[in-house]
Amino acid sequence: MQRQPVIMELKEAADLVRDGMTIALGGVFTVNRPTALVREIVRKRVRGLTVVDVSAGLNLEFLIAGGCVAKVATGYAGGEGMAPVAPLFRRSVEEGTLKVWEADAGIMVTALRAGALNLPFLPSRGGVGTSIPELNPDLKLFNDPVRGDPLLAVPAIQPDLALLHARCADLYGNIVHKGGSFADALIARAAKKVLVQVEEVISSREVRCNPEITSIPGLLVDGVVRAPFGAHPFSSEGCYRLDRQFFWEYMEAAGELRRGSGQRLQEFLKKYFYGPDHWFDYLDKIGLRRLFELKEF
Amino acid sequence: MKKTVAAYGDLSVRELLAIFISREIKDFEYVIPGAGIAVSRAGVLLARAMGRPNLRISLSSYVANLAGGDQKGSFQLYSEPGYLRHAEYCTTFHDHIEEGRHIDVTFVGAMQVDRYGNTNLIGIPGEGGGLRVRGPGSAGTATFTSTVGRYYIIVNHHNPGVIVENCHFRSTVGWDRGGREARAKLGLTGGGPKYVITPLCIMDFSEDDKQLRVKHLLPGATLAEVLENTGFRPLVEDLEPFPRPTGAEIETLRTNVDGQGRLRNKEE
Repeated sequence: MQRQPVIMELKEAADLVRDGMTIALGGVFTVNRPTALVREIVRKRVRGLTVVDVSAGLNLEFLIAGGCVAKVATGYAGGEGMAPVAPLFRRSVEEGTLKVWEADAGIMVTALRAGALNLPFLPSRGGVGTSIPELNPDLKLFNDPVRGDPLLAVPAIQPDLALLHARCADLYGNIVHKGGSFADALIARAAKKVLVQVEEVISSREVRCNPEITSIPGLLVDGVVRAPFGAHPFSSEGCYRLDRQFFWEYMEAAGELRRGSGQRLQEFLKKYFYGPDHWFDYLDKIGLRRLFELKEF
Repeated sequence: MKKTVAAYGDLSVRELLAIFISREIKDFEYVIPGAGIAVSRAGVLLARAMGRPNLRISLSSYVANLAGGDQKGSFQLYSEPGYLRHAEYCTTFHDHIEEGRHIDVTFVGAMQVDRYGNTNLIGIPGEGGGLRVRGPGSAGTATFTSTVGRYYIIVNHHNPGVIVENCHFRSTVGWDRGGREARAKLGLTGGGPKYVITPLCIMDFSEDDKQLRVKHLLPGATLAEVLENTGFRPLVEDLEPFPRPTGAEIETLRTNVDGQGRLRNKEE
């Protein structure tokens, strides 16, 4: 009897995503985002997702553009220095087509911790006295039974599926992040199923030489997908930086939408999402020279 | 709003504020520069470069000391790819909030800040329900401001829609409805906000009421301009002159910290 590898193809991984699911995205802000997997979701035209993201941003844009998202649970959806607020996120919330489960990053972490611990809730001090529990009635203000402190009861989040991005994994799903793993390990413990896309697959021997750097154990991982440059256009910690050119192109398209024409955005989606069939076809579109230049920082 | 500080040649307002911020940071402190705020990130890096060898800086989810002083980065992103080289420790995002008790200083951006230092990153309501402007969201501010030693609120614009009597929505509690006990009553720990930093002035909080009080005018800004552009009447007691930047600070900022001139809006 052989030990069972968990390597799967992108398409096979995408088949696990169903309409209406609650999906957690790994990474934070513009780093370590599972674009290769997200692209498959957009291509598949999945609908009605609830997206869970401890600190989101421009990564939500493509899913929103694809009409995939009904609700977002996150503490942040800005564009950091590139835009004050992610433009499509902003527009969709203002129009009423996207709901927000209001939170801050600490509340998101607390919800996932409760999920991982299989508790109904965990308390948070952050948020007391703010508008967050008023906007999000799932958060309940209470006085704790030990000291009487005012706290927020944050209900557990157990995502149906987690989509993560990391540097490497072995055949059995032991994940090694380069540098920061952000909240990925917590998400992996809270989610019901976990898919991780990686830059490369490494040998188990390499994992066993440095088990202290394994960020997520294979026992929590249901699928590993080979996706070199898989975080593009976002940065991959320790591997390549953000592709600003891609974001300028995107922001132009989003800007035109704000000015009344959705055509450029549709062309953008066709060019990068609906057009290229496989992740490698997408990478061909970006081009080797540009990709390799991103590796220097 | 003026972009440069006429009294100091071509020094930009953002550079001046970065220098001001750098002086606020003491050696041995553990500082989070704040995601996406160029001025505070530059200020923290400048503090280090100006000689605080025991500083602990949170860059992305790394703890760094930045010995060697070569700081690169555009200050635009939470996680600049070069930060990993400086990391002494990789926190996870979730463990980071457990360090709250040990964090001495952080910085908070805001779409609105009110009389008692409460801030809003959530949005501005529209007529008849819904939002006219959806903001980026509270980021980590609600959690970190409930525990850290002290924090500074930074706004990009000083106008009556930003510095308001009451925030439309609150991401953080500064001093709630005022008074020394305001934070303790809500069970909030940490020291609360120390200053509100705007392109026109620095404001602190009065000792008893904890109301905003104009403390320093930026060179080139007038009190009339501040009052005209504030949505309520802030306290004005003893205005102190704005601390003058030194040649060494400007030089260090421009060579060591912001070599690409991003604080002077020279984008790539």
